[in-house]
Amino acid sequence: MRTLSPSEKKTIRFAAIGIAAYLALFGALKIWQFFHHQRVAYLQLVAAAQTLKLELKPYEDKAAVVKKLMENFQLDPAKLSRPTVMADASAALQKAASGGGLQVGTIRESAAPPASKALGTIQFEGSGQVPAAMALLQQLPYLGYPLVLDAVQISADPMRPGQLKLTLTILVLDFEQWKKSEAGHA
Amino acid sequence: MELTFLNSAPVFIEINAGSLQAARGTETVDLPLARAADGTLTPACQEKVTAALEKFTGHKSWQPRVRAFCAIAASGIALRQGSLPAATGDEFQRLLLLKIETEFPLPPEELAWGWQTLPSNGPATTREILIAAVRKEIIAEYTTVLVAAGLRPVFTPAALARNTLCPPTTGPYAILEIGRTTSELVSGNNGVAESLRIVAWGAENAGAATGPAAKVFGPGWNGRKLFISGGAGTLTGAAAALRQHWNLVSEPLDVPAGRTAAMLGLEKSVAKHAELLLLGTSAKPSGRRFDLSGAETRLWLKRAVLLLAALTVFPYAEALLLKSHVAKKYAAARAEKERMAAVVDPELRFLQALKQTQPPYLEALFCFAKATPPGARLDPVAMNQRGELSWRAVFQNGQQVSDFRAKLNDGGFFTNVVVEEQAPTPDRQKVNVRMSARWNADALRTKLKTSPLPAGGETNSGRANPVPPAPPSKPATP
Repeated sequence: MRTLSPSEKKTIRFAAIGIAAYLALFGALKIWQFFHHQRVAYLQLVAAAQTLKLELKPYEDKAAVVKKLMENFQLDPAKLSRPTVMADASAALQKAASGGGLQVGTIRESAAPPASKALGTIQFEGSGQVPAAMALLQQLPYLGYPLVLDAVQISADPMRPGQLKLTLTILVLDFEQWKKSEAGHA
Repeated sequence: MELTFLNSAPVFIEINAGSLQAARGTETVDLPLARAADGTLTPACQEKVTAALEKFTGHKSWQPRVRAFCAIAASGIALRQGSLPAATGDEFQRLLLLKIETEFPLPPEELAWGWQTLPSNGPATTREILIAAVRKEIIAEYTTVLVAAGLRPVFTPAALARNTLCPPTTGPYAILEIGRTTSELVSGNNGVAESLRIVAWGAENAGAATGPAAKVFGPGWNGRKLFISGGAGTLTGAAAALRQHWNLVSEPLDVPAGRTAAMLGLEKSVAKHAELLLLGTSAKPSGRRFDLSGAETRLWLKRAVLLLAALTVFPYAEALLLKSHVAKKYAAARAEKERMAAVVDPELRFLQALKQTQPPYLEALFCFAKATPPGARLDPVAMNQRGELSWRAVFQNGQQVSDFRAKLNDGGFFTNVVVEEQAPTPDRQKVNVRMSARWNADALRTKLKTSPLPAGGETNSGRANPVPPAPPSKPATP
C-alpha cells in the first residue's frame, strides 16, 4: 500500500472531521427529537389528567346528593333485586296499610310493557278511617321501594259506614331501565 | 422559621503569633501556627489550618459561608483616640481618612482599619472616636486561609474584645493578657479602651523585676485597677509576681475553660448585638471589569452553569422519569371516573326521577279540605299522576258551588276547574255537581309551604309532607 501524500492526508482528515461532525449533529438531533417527543407526550398526558380531574370533581357533589336522596327515600337502588322487587314492594305496601289501620282489600299486580320504565303496576284497594288512609298516602314513597302513586280514588265505603275506600294504582319503577338508558347515552 | 442548615452558628476565633483557637458552641479547637522568618504563615501551615477548620465547622460547599468573628493579637495593631468634626456621609469619611493619614505611619490604602464612636460629654460639634489599624497584608493572609475553609471572617483587635469582659468600673483601669514571654496591656478609662501596648513580661519571665516591665508596672503605674487574663496555670504566678515586685493588686477576669478572654468577649458582644470595631480595607473595587480569575468567582460560575444545565435538562428528565407514574395515576383516575359514571349517574337520575314524579296528592287533598264549605260532601274523588282530578259533590246551593270553585282557582294551585254537570237533587234541596280540574304540581309542592291558602285556608309552613288535618269530605253513608 502506497504512502499517502500530505495533501491526501489533509483531505482525509477534513473528510473525517466533516463526517464526524455530521454524525454528531445528526445523532444529537435524533436524541433531541426523542426527548422532545417524550416531553410532548408527557405534557399531553398531564393535560389529560388535569381534564379528568376536573371531570371527576362534580362526582363528589353528585355522590352527596345521591346519599341524601337515598336517606330521604330509605332506598338503595343498588340493592334492589329486580326479580323480587314487585313481591317485596307489595308485601311492604300491605304491611304499611294494615299497620296503619287500613283493611287490605283486592290487590292486583300486572307487569309493565317492556319499553316502559316501570317494572309493573300494583292496584291496591283498602278501606279504613281517614287518618289511616292519609298515613298510607304519606308513607308510600318512603317504604324503601321505588313506588310512584299513579292514581288515587277516594270514596265512601258502602259496606262500612263512616269509612273511606281507597283505591291506589302504584307504579314500581325499574332501576335497570335507568342503567340501560345511561349505557345507551354513553 | 429558623433555617439552621442555612444560618449556622458563628465561629469565634482568636489568632496570635503561635496559635489559632476557635470555638463554636461547645466545640473548641486549638491549632498551632508555623510562621516564616518574615512572620507570614507557611504554605503548609495554611493548608493544615484550612483543612482543620473545614473539618471543625463541617461546612459543605453548597452551604452559605459560616460567619467567623476573629480577634487578632496586638502585634502590629495601633490604637488611636481622637476627635473629629461632627460631619456626615462622605465628608466624615474624608475627615477620617485624613485623621488616619495623620495618626498612623502608613497611608489608609495600606492599612486594614476600623473605627468606633466613643461616648463623649464634649460639644456636639465634635465626635470622639477610637481608630484601630494594622497592616492590610496581615488581615489579607488570615482572610485567605479562613475563606478557603468556608468561613466569612471579620476581624477586631483581641484587646478590645477582652475589654468587653471588664466589670463596669469608673476611673482608669488596665487589662493585662499574659502570654509566655510577652503580654498585651490595654489601658482604658471609664470602660473605654484608650491605648494598647505589648510588654516584654510574661509567664516565663515573671520573675524579672527589672527591665521594660519595671517601667510599666513600677513607679510609673498611676494606680489603675488591673485585670489580668491568660492561661489558667499562669494567672496565679503572674498575680503573685505583680504583687511581689511592684505591689500591684490584680483581679483575674472570669473566663471558663476552653475559651480565651477575647473569644468570650466576642461571643458576648455578638450575643448583645454590640458594635464591634471591625478592621477592613478602604480599597475600592477595581473598576467594573468582571474578574474570572478568583476562586470564588469560578465557583459561582460553576454553580450558575450547573443551575442552567439543570433548568434545561429537568423538563426532559421529568418527562422520562414521571411519565409512567402519571400514566398509572391517569389510568386509575379514568377507571374511577368510569366506575362513578356507571354507579353514581344512574342512581342520581333514578332517584331524582323518583323524587320529581311523586305527585302531590296530599297537598291537593289539603287544599280541597280547606276549600270545601261546611255541609258539602265530596264523593268520590279521583286523581292521577298527570294532575287530572275529577270528583262528584253535593252542595247546599249553587252559591256554594261558585265559592268552592273560586277558592280552588285562587292561589294558582289548580287550573281548568270545570263544573262538568250541575243539577239539583230530586228534592230540590241541594245541588249535585260533577267537576274536574288540573293541578299545578310545582305550585302545590313549593308555594303551599309559604303562601296563604285560598280564603278560609291556613298555611302549613314547616311541614315537609303535610297531612291534611281533616278529610276532603265526610263520606256519605250508603
